[in-house]
Amino acid sequence: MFALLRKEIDSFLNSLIGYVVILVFLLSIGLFLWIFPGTEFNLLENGYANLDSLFILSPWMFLFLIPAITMRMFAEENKSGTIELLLTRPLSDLQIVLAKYGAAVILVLFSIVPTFVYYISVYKFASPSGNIDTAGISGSYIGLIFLCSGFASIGIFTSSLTNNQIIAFILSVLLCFFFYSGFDFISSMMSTGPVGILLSQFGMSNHYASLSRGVIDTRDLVYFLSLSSFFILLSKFNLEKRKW
Amino acid sequence: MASRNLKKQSLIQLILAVLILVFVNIVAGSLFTRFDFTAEKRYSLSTSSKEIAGNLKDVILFKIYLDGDLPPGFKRLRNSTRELLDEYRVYSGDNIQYEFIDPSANPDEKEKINLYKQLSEKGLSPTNLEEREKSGRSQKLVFQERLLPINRVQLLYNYLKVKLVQNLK
Repeated sequence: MFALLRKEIDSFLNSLIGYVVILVFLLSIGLFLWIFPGTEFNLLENGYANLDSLFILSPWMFLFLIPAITMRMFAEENKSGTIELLLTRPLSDLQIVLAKYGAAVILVLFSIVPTFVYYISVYKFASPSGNIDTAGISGSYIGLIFLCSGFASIGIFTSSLTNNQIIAFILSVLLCFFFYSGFDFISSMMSTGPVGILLSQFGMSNHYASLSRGVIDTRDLVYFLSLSSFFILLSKFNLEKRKW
Repeated sequence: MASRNLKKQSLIQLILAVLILVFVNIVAGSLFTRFDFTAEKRYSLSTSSKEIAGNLKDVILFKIYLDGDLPPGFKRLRNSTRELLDEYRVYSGDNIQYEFIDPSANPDEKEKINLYKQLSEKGLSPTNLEEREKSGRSQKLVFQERLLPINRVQLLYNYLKVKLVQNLK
């Protein structure tokens, strides 16, 4: 299982797409946080020593970038037929899915880690230097990682549906968007009754809202873990279809 | 025959797993703890606040006339107001609802002035916010009051002191 996980990470980092994804993420986040004037995300203009903008923007970036990471994981294997080789290995279907999922989450961590530079910059810029809420920001990072693992599980699932990477990518952007804010739209279209509230509970943004501020609620963690397991199980179900 | 059994088996597994996940989430919904990582415990309510929020019998709607194109300081005020209300909402079991209203959003001038009139009749006077910008000066009317209708009773609360506006310049 770990061999497969390593293989996935290696093949990602040996291809151009890995670096493009990480570069695009850091470039766009960096531009929004430090360069573009007149937006509410610009840290220097706002003049507050926090990283709130990072945690507001990142989900929208990852909405496109995580599907780009996960799109080839099953789709390419389905297309080239190497999925047959993989399935004859002494690994259970669940282990294969988990290895790919783990690889996706680790790759996302690779792109999150360089943002610590922003933390260090804000830490130095703060007046007096170091006047920044480190604990709160670390809580927000935990929230972001949970959100990303949710996106990754959706990406793995859509990749297992098809043998075309582009279809996998588009489907998973759509599904990620639907789970991130689609439920909010539906609930706001409906009345503010209990049904609307229940529906908004299914959405990720509802659960990410407090996590991104550094408030870790056990319910939100359980939600993200269940969401990931749900899509991992769906992918496993998809793999099992071949036996029928 | 064997393949049909396998199909049945994986379907049953999937449905069982989904049921377990739903059950876990329902249980987690009633047994929860919140860990506030922030240094000053910014998002933690005191025990008595939690009790008051938890014992609400009816829905309280907060109408906050603070939205639209605001300078960063006011945006921050709006966001932190929303965050505080969110915290209350968590403990009230959704008995606390809020909406942010931009009093100057209405494109129809007449209706906009009507709304201003209504608000000032209720005792909410606008604060004229003057701010120096790179491109010159801009003036904005800011209503910083909240209306709290409780059982058809409305409570007004002005939570912006004029002094604060001057400081923000």
